[in-house]
Amino acid sequence: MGVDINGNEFDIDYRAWQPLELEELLSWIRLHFARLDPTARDRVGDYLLSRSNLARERALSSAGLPYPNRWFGPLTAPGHMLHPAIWSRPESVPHKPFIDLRIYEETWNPEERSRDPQKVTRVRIFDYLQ
Amino acid sequence: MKLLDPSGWTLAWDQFWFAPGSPRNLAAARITFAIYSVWVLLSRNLAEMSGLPSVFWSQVGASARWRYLDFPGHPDLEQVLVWITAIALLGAIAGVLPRFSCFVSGLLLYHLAPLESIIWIPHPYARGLTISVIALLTLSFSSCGDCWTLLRPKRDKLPAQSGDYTWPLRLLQLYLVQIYFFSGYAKVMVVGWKWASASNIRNWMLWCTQEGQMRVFRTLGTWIAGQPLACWVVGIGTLLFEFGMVTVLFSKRARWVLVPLVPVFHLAILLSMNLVLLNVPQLLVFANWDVLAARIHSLPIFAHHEPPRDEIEPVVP
Repeated sequence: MGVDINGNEFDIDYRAWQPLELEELLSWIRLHFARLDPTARDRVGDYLLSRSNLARERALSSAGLPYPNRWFGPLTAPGHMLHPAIWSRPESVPHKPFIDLRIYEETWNPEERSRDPQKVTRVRIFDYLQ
Repeated sequence: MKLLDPSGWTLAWDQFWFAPGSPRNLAAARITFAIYSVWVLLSRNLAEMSGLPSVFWSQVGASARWRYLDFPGHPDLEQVLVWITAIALLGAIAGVLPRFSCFVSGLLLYHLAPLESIIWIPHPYARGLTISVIALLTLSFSSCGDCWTLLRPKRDKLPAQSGDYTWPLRLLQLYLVQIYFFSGYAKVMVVGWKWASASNIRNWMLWCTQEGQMRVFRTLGTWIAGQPLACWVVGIGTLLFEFGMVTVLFSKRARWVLVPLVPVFHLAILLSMNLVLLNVPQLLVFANWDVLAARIHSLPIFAHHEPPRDEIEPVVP
């Protein structure tokens, strides 16, 4: 999640992490992130925050957030998992820069969540403040 | 064929790998795999993976780096290799030095494809280029350039059908079929036959439609999750389909039924679980391109033209 100067949290479009595919980044975080020392984690936080702000600016521009291959556009081969392009419309893109990047781990029971969509446990595992 | 007669088995083996086959089918396989590979290659930013901050590479072991010769800090070099691969693939499509082009692109894809996931896992399964690597290398050792090439061989006629055109095609078909076989095998070995149970399928459908990062399509998955009978059908049907795909190697009837079902199968997975398998276009290696070429040339727009040199009816030895 990106956090703006007012403390508002926003989901980040999966295309922001290019060249990393979202599922590769999430798997890497799950497996290796906790093993890093605090300095290395901050380097990761700094990199991801800069990528998300760059993507936010591009998404607000008239050209929009590009697909990995600008010639193929929406015909670009997707990864193994489909992800929603949440920053496809400028009005859905946060207008203020992110100053903070937070990584949450979400767990839920599918049965419970099918009855109550809010039934999700969120634990903040990383917080990088610029 | 008597089951215990060794000569019968030898005959069946020879028949499977070396029955006379059409050069068109092998050429179509070359073009199919090359077009598909260039699409996936240019859809990724593999070169930039080498330029990630070193912290992302800190957990990549020496064996993974040396196995694929993938090292951090060389994005420009990797970009050059991506372009060489793309040019080689275009050569394979157009039939310019087709075997050499297949060899170069296959070898370079072996190096490039793992970059996509190497920061956490060194094998790029299910990401689109796994089969391409072995398929292009197989094609490079075959007579895949005898037909549908820009730089045509000097002969006037299409070469006769031969076993030289069959074994590579059979290998490519085997590579594709094993995706399904081992997918079913892994389910049964890791989870057991209860993988096909309605409760397991329901959990998968719910998870894939609840996960916010991959929730694009929801309706079909949520509907299936709510119908125990549909969950049973999906579970048992998936295992039957995945293990049954092996039969398309041996049975024409199975090929007619199961191969057209593959796109339907993956479309259903896409719409219900938001999971993609990119390899579907590679199933064109099961098509009979002699029949397709003949049908295309019987269309009215071709009626008044002489058949191109390649389309002269092959002589069966």
